[in-house]
Amino acid sequence: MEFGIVIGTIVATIKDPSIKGCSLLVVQPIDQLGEKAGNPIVVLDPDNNAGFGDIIVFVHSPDASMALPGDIWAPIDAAVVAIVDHVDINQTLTLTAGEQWRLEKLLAQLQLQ
Amino acid sequence: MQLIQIVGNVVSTHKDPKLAGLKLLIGQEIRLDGTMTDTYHVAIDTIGVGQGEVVMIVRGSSARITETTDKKPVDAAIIAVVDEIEVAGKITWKKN
Repeated sequence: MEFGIVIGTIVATIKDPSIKGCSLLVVQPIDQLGEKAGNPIVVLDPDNNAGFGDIIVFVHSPDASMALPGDIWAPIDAAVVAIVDHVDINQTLTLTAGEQWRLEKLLAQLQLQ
Repeated sequence: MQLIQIVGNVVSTHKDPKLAGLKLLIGQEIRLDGTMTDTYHVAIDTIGVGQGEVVMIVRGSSARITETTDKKPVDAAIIAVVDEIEVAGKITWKKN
């Protein structure tokens, strides 16, 4: 599982029937210290719980399908499984929910036109 | 999942028999503002998309979990057509 910050959403009317009703989040992957880790990806949110600015834990493998309710297999390779309150490593806080400056820093690094 | 813009077709006469009848498309990965990157992906079309459309692809063994690609030698499939990308409350890309 990996960390990410929700930076946006995707609207898609035509999609595989198995993912209807689930939101599609634009997520910037981050490392355990909150630094940018690769390019933004789309992550499925089965419970529609995560929102803009949330730090999430997501499964980034075919096992993402397990996050869907019931015994459904869906063509997804990333799904939200937790919304992070905080992370501490060796008793030091490295990530805390609601850090506006971190979100702004990551958005600035994307250099969108 | 990644976002790509469809830029072409891959036409192949000789291919794995399990891929017979499937449409192979080629697309370039895009940034969140719709600008293109230099990364290309070949993916199976499972929903019927057209040239120039921005679509979402799933990669790895998850790409086999659609009706079209079930039990087929495939590691990238198109599973959604993107209408709109929103980042930080602003629409950064919208379908024409």
